[in-house]
Amino acid sequence: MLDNTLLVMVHEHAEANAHKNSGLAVLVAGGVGGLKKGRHSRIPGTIGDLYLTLASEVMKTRVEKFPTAYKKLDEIA
Amino acid sequence: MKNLSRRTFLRGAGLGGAAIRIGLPALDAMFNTNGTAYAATTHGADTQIPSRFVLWFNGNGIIERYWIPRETGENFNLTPCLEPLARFQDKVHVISGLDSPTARDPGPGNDHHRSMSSLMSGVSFTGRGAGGPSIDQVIAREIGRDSRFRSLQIGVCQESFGESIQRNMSWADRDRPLPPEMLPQRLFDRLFGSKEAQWIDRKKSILDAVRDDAASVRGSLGSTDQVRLDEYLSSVRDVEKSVASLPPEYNEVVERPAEGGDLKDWPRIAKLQSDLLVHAFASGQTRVASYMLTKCQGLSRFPWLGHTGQRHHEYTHGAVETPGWAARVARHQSLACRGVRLPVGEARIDAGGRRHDARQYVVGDGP
Repeated sequence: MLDNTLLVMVHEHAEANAHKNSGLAVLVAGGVGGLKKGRHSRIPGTIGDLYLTLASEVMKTRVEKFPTAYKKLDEIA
Repeated sequence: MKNLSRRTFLRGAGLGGAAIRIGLPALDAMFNTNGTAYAATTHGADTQIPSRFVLWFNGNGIIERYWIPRETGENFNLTPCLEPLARFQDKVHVISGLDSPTARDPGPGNDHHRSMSSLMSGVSFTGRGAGGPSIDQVIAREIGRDSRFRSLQIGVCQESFGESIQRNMSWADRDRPLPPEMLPQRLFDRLFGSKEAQWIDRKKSILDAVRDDAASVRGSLGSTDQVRLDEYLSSVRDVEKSVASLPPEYNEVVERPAEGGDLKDWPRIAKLQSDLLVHAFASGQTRVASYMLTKCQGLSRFPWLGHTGQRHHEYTHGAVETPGWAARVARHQSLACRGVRLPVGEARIDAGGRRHDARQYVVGDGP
């Protein structure tokens, strides 16, 4: 079932004590679309960039924009 | 063998006359002759094998030195928090370095409110809500239209300061939260339709209600599908028993428990909720879900690890320096919630045109 599911795991903050919202860590898993897997990527983008890339390039929906999304992330798909 | 619609439910009536519906997993009888798509037995029904989307959330934040790998690329070492996912390392993409810029916009609320809103919708916290739809709902609007549930919102831990932006991760629009269902019994009822009060006290299973319909469907199936159906119904029975065996205090919502309260074994709840989500996907009842393990600025304790002195919020802020607690929590979550092995999955065709079952382990949730 994981082959047909895209799982995105987010946390409220990065370093919790600092309420840090830059440098967020996210886990993406599953076999949908062209998701690149089996790696760790440090990506200078926004969480919105990630969401848009997943919705558009991986889930292949018609979603074309999302707040704080400025670019698609090649590192993902 | 005639084609079975992907949307077939086993139907029956409960003791009080309530409608029971048990969705079916993917069966050979639902596919076209190539096995690449569902045979369209309903006008306009989607025939493509669907993809699903799950947004999973844990509150308060991480301890970066235990979580974020030092190395990038394909040869990275799993940190203590990621180590429980070792079996799945080739199926995950760990990402770090992302920014959530609208969390820093000046405005109402505290850091937690602002972070939560920005993380879910990309829009600043309005003082009341997330300012726009969360990403899971943006996707659900596109792919959820043909499902019984456009999306499912599932939760585990209840302990919260109580505001809407803290209690909810899914937002339909700027002011309208979609609350998570935190009680396995109620989630079970939503999926299987057994709304009768105290059904869990009865010795009978909801499978009894659909026995005639199940026999009728089974009789029309080939032998491989019959085995799949039997195994699937057996897994429904297993999750039903797990729900029925929860102590009574696990069947009520108490957000601000008394000082000595909230000592639930919440990995047990998390695993059960994961199992129910897997069943919802396997029976095609939804394609989108959100899963809220703990609340924004959450207040849960960790009794099964012996950490009851402080709550989640204090631990993540270093109020109690317990070496490796984060890793132990993550490990236990992952072990308890590694998910259910379903007897059926979406089938695939190999180069020789043969059908193969996909017998998959699925990760329910993780660190």
